[in-house]
Amino acid sequence: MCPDRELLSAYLDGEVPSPWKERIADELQNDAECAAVYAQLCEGRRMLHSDPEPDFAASKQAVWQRIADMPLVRRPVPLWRRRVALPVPVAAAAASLLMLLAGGLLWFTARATVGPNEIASSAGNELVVRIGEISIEELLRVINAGETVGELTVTLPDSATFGIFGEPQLVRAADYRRREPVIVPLENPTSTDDETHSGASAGRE
Amino acid sequence: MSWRDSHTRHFQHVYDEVFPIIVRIVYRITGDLDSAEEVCQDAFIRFYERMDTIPDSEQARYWLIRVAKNLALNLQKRRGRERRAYERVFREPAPREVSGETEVLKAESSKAVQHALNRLPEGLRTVLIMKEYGDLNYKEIATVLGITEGNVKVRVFRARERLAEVLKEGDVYVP
Repeated sequence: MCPDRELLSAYLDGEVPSPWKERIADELQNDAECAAVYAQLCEGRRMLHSDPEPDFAASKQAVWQRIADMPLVRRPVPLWRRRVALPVPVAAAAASLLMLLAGGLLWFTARATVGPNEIASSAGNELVVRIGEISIEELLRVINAGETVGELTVTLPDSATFGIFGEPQLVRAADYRRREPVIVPLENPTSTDDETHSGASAGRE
Repeated sequence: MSWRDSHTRHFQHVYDEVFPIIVRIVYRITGDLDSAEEVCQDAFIRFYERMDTIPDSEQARYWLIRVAKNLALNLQKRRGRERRAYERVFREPAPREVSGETEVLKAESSKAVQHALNRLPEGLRTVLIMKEYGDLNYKEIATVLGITEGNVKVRVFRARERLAEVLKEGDVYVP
């Protein structure tokens, strides 16, 4: 079957890869109709090249001479706009090295801030530590040295039992009407409760 | 070897390699040798001024072909505007070609080919000229024009079909 004219046009330009070009060549030999279509394309090309070319070698010489006679000035290119030719492997190696260095620097910074045993997980300014895996002294050291940590989460062990020792200084209370927890001092709950309720009612108004 | 010497050698290397390509392309767009030389000269001067930003010979080749093609098309459009203005003022058709034409365009066969090409739309004509006279492959044409190879293939084919139609109309003499 004869290929379409577009494919024959590409074949004429030598732009059809193997094995298709061999198949087209076979088709042109065996199919007279197909060969006639191809001959039309060849005729078009012959027509385009039937026009004799002027002497371009003389033109090349003449234009070169004219350019050489001109006082040409190169435009200064700012340093930041200059292009640097860099082979792709070198560029890739440089990029990899840069990423490796950046990763190493980040890791080293994180290690320098908090010890490896104290970190359970860390993302950005958030730090999570687990009680039981580290001692209380180490936890206090993390808290004291935690300038770069914005948020600290302390996870208590699931199996541990807790009791109240001594006199608690703070109790946690909740204002269920506002659904917001409020921390009030235990020693003078009445006055604070009044202030809280008055503030809440003012807010509602 | 000084920096200036290496710069000049690079320029000459690019000139030797690219001039034969662009002069053929530009000649077929403008239709006369004087204009083609003028456009080529302009393109290479522009290249010389910007050599620091185009250090690679391959990129320089594509850049020069693109610039020369655009300069040639602009020149041709300007000539068209001038011709129309001339016709309006003097109320008579002006000669289609400006003075200083080469002997090539005076020949009938040359005119026939040139007129047939001029009747093609710019997008088809440029691609066909680059293929037939610049001897560029589809990939190179695609790089110069910033289009896909598939698009080049389609444009070359359509240009050939349109050219065949123009010839069939019978007003073009084919030697």
